[in-house]
Amino acid sequence: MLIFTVCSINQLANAIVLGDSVKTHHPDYDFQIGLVDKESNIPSFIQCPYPITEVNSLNISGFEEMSVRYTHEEIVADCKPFFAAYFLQKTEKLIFIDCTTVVFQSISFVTDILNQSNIIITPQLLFANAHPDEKQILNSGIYHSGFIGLKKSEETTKFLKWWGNNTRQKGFKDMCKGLNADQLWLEHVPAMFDGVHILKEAGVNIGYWNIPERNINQLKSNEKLYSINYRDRAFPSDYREKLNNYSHKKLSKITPAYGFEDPNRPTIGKTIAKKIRSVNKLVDVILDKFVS
Amino acid sequence: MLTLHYMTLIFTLCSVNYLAQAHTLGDSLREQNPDFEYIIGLVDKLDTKDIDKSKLPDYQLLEVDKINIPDFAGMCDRYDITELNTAVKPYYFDYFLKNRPDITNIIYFDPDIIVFDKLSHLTSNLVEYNIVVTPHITTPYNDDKWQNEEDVVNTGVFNFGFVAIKRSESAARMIDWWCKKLYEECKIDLCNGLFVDQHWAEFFPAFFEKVLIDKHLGYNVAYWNLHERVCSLKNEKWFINENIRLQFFHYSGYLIAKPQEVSKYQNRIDFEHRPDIVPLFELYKNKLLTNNELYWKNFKCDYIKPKKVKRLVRVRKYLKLPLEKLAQIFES
Repeated sequence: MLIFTVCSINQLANAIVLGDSVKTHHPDYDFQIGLVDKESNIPSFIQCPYPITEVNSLNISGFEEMSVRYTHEEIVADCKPFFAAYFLQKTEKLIFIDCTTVVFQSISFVTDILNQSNIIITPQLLFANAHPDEKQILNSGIYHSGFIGLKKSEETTKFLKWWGNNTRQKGFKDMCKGLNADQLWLEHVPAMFDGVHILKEAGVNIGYWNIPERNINQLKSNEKLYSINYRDRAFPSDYREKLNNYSHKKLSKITPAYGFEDPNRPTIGKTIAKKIRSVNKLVDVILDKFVS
Repeated sequence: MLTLHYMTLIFTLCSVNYLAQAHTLGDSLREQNPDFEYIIGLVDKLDTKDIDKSKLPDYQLLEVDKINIPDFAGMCDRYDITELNTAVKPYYFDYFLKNRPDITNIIYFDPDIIVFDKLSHLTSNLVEYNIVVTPHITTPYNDDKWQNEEDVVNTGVFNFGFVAIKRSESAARMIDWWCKKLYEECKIDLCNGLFVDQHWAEFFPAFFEKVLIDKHLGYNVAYWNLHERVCSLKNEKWFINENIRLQFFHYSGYLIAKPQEVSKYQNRIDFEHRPDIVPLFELYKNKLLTNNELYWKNFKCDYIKPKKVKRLVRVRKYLKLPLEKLAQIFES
């Protein structure tokens, strides 16, 4: 049994904290890190306790083009299928977990499900009418690519080959075109592959996207809290403390070696500009009333 | 011997201009599945039009203003004709669930479908499952043609020219939720994740229980999956990939006015490279002509709104200019 994550050096502290939480509950599982970065850029003050596989050692065909075409964030996500294929050579069962995740108890039930299935994917939402704007989730993906289970099989190999072909060529984040790096491709998976299990477990991969429908305290008291993914939101203080043990602040400032800075990353100026333009929309509303 | 007999109702939705298609679908059902009731839901009005009654198909017609959609006027106001036509789909399901307690299975087909077989595979699946949907594709395209895999993601991996439900708590919850969504968000707005009723259905397997994604290659055969399906005729029966019985064919985007084109929504499949599908389309064309397609196609739907014209374009531009300049400064 092997659990892996993928990150650049700027998220290495996250990956180590994830590894620690995995090892706490599964001392017998392997935990490995796929690094979409240059290992030689890891500062000497940090000793990573888990084996690291550098992306260059995978010899992904077309990787150089990917590095030119994708943002830092996109390329990390888009290398996931290739790392999964690589790690599956070493193990029968494999779980991918986003590096921003912490595991809170044994997730061995996932490995049990893999006895009967090839691929496990995790919906972002499980309950109708709970999220205040369900179309946002429709837009970004029914399934979240931050928690995936895989069993070594012909079907899984087929899946990873297809997924990797798409992330290699069309791993952009462009929701208007139905693209969201590695994630939106998962929509096809239940129809395209056999032995796909849709994991409907409220305590798995809790994140900002499904917080409105998950009751963490209740899950905790029912011993059903498995993992929380802190991606894309301010980290809570207990998580930050753990990260600081591994020099997260310093590491997070290191620019990744592959991909480029996302020009659409929200900045204060852009947010203000957006607010100003929303005032301008009133002109249309008023004039439409006036004209009719 | 005790036999359980589940009553099945099939419906379609269209405006008067598509009555030849709905008629053709009805004929195919009458031939293959005479036990099933068939209703044409009409997103249109009959009595506002000067219609030759003798040409009306011999099937039940149920006009949309007769099924008590709450705030239907608001929906008409919000939606264009495509959006409105698709937004009423769950409301028809809801109407049948509430008003036809004798019915167990409800199946929706787009009007541009022909059913080619007895639907016993489907009805036996409805014993076990609450909801049956069909994927657009079950294998990759491996080409760069239109539409491609990401286009399918953007508009919905399941095709909603077909959906079937069994009366059940789960299906009723699904219909309730779907109605709620389509009341205001049955729009085509790809950048915001919206593509009429169809994209919402992506949630079905995550939100509801016993949803079957039916990969049977004889279901919903259409331009989007012909790359993986070859059609053949043996002893007057149609087969897919040699030995799978064709259940229903979906002539999406086919126009009698452009009979040389398979569909206006794609460029992957053409008749020249796919002689196997030529007779299926010949058959369809002839049936539509027999069912008065040329007569029906010119009727204008009562729910079509005049196009909104944006006026005072230049005034708007100048009024917005100062704030737009300010926004640009902040952006840079």
